[in-house]
Amino acid sequence: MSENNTMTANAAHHEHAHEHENHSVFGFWIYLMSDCIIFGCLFASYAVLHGQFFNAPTFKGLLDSHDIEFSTVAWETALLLLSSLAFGFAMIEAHKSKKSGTLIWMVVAAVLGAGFLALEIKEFMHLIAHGATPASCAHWSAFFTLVGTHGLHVTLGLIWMIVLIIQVMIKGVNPKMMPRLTCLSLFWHFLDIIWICVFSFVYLLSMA
Amino acid sequence: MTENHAVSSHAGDHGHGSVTSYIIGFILSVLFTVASFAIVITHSLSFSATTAALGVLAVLQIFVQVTFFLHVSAAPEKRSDLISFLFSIFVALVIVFGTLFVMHNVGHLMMAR
Repeated sequence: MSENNTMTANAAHHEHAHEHENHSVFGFWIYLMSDCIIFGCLFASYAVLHGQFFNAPTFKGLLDSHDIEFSTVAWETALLLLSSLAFGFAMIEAHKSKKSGTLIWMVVAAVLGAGFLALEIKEFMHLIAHGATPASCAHWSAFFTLVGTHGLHVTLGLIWMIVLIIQVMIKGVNPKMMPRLTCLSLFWHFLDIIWICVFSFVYLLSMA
Repeated sequence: MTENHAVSSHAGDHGHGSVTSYIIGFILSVLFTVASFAIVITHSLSFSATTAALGVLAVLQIFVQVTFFLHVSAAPEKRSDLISFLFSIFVALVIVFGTLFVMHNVGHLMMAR
């Protein structure tokens, strides 16, 4: 009888926790949708201002003189896609409440994400060194605002991931951790979607 | 132990994907991404055709990511996610194409003067 009571109590508690998880995850989803609209605005301004180089170096010019490498954007894409996949595997392990598996895949995702960020920073430095700075013309202004905002999101995602890695290390994967991990997984996959638009419409279209 | 049970009891494949679904999503993403890059590297299409192809491939890639990684679906418990997602996409498209339309017209009117 008492066994039964604890079971129902547990179930009720669990039900409540699940409800709570759904609410906070849905709230985070709504934030992501507002982020989606922010990126929509940045893409709109890039669409209007692209090609307005004034006296600054052009994208094609930098590409032809090999100051921009085609392979950089390919590597960046590969790293971000693999990082997204790795975080997906971390979530599968987390749903099985496997602490070590979750941690390993989270570290893999964080390392791949850091690789993406390193390449992007290197490319920005390269562009700035060749005179394509945010202040040089309308095109590079819009470019750095759009790509930079995505890069800033990746940076914040990485900091968040490191915090959660430490929390999982200390507390393990418990029901309280799940909404946090789920929100970060949504954020991380969402950044991949934004990157698809960035490499298609900013990089590839300028190279076409 | 009870804690563990609480987390895993509703795990399964329901709502948050399996290794297979992640792998399928990843392979499809890679295929579409490689296709986008190949079109640009080979210069096989005209500029307007390249633009159109990149647009179509981007939509396909977004669809794959949203389905296999973000697990948005038409399932009843995911309905509000789907509706808010479609609404945001709609607003973003209105912003992008509305801006282009207005700025294009502004360009024409300024030219006329």
